[in-house]
Amino acid sequence: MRITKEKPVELLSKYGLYFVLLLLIVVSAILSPLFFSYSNIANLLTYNSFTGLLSLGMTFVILTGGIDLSVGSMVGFSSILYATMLHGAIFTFMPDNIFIYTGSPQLTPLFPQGINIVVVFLICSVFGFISGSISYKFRIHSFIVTLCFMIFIRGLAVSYTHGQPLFGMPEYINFIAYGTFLSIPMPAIIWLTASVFSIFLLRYTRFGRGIYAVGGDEEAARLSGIKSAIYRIMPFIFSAFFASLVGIMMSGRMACGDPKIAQGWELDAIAAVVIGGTSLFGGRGTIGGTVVGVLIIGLIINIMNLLEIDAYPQQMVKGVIIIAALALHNLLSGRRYS
Amino acid sequence: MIKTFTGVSLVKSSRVSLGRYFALLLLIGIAAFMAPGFLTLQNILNLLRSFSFLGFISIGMTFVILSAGLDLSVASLLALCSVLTALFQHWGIYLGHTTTLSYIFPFPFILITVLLIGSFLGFLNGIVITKLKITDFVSTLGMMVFARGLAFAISGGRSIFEVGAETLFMGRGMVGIIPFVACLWVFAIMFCTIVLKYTAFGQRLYVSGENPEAARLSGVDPHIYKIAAYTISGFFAALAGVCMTGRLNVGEPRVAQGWELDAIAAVVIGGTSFAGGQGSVVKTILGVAIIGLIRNILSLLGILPSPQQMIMGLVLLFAVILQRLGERNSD
Repeated sequence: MRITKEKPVELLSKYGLYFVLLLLIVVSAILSPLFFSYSNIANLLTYNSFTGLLSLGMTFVILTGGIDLSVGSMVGFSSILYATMLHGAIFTFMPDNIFIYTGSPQLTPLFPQGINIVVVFLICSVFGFISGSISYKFRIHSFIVTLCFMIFIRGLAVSYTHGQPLFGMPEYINFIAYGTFLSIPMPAIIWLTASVFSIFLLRYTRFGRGIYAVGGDEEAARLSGIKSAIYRIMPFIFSAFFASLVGIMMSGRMACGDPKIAQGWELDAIAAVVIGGTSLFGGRGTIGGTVVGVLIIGLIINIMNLLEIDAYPQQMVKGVIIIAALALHNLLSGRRYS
Repeated sequence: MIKTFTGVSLVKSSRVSLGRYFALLLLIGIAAFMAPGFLTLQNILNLLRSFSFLGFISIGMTFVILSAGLDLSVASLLALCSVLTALFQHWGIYLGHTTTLSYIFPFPFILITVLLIGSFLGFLNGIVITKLKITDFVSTLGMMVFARGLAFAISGGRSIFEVGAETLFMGRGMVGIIPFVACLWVFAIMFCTIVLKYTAFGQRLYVSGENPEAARLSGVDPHIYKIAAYTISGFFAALAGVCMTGRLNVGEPRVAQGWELDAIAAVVIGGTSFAGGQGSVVKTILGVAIIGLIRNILSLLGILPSPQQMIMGLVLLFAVILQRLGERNSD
């Protein structure tokens, strides 16, 4: 008797998020006939894929009980870094003018095309590695360490070109940002591929199980022979990597490298992860939840846009949603999720 | 045994905080060396004034961090209260009278209303955290986004220029040669130090921050103290908002962006522990002064804002690492 009584509640708490998503889709379809148009769906997916990619990395970090505040700055940094590498002439021909050079349409890549991207990935990943290592080695909470890096990296990115954007992007970056494959926008494809890869990594590999183990109870994980260093540091590298990917994609969308973009995006990413049911205390949560969390926030913004609500009240609503979603979560599960 | 143990740890911990005083003295020395006018009374009073806006919200942040919480919403509350202060004096703005002052009610009531609204939103933070059981970080993140949105929405994203004489006095006025804000700040520091050190409320706040379970078992409800801490934080954010409006002579929804992080940095550099239950307002003030002085010196050196930001990030990182190493040695 009791079992049958508890079942619907359990079901609801387990799949509550998906119900909310479904409900939102139905509501938007009723509210606006434009919702199911191709361009609206394509836009929805494209605009959310940037936060979506950031929150993938953030999920890894939060699963191990950490938090990464530096991703927004990292997006700006990778964007301007990539642009300066494409304009390698700055370094070779105008060494005195690095700081006031505002770019020309003429591209003079520092390295062959593909390698520039790899170098950007590497440099950003090294930053992630450093912040993760400091947090792990000195046992300082990653909130503080990544806060320092957030300030530092944004300062670095902005002082690099005196805050000036650097124009001119090659053709294939344009394709990554605006192109479509089977009429699905490229950013969405990249996001979904990365999500599937992350789900695989977390579910079916030793690495994934280690992440959950270390995040759930580090002491127990240590006693059972898991070396926690790699599981503590790798998530920060992932997070920085995804941030630099977003930075390069954003450069393509704006056709320039801009050090000032993505301010405050780290909080959007964290909100999406937390709404997706990942516990801030670590050890509990899924990538699927995060993807749904991103879509829930994105859908609500989309509905408000379709209803032509102003940008400022939209922000207020966003604040209320973050709290309401979690309150609902706690209510349904009777647990302290986050 | 216990006595010697606490004795040793006291000596060690005082050595750590001595390092901080030393850092402050060193910074003052550097500044005095670089700018001959630095140590004049007038400049020190000016510095005091420039510290006090961040200082107010750092005091509130200290209460919250002592209760093992974290308040990301202070800067947004500051902006909201700044807009409210100006709006209450430009009530006719909705009717199109943008240049003339039109008070909704006399200034003292405006001040009280704004402080009450700030405190209430802080109180709301506390309620959401304790009753809805959502972690501090996320609840105050929600409030941060909400309050900033509200500030933009009620002002329509515009700056509201020109405020009344009383508000101007809150931000720019002088008592003799001392800026009024600085007086208010020093008074707040003393008052809060006394409250934290010598009252039952302060003692219980420390206890419920350090170990909520033990506090509950000894009959202290930690939830009440957490709510109180957030209310105090909201109050100080509102006070800083009113003073800021007077200082800038404008109600501005964009003001103080990112200050929550500066306040947290000040508290942490000052040596208040994130785990709750350890630290004091005086330590926070030390942190505020250190951050302010470093900024001041970098400006004296003629370094532009964005490289300054870069250097601040590194300094903060090193301060935290050094502090951590100091704590480890004293363990």
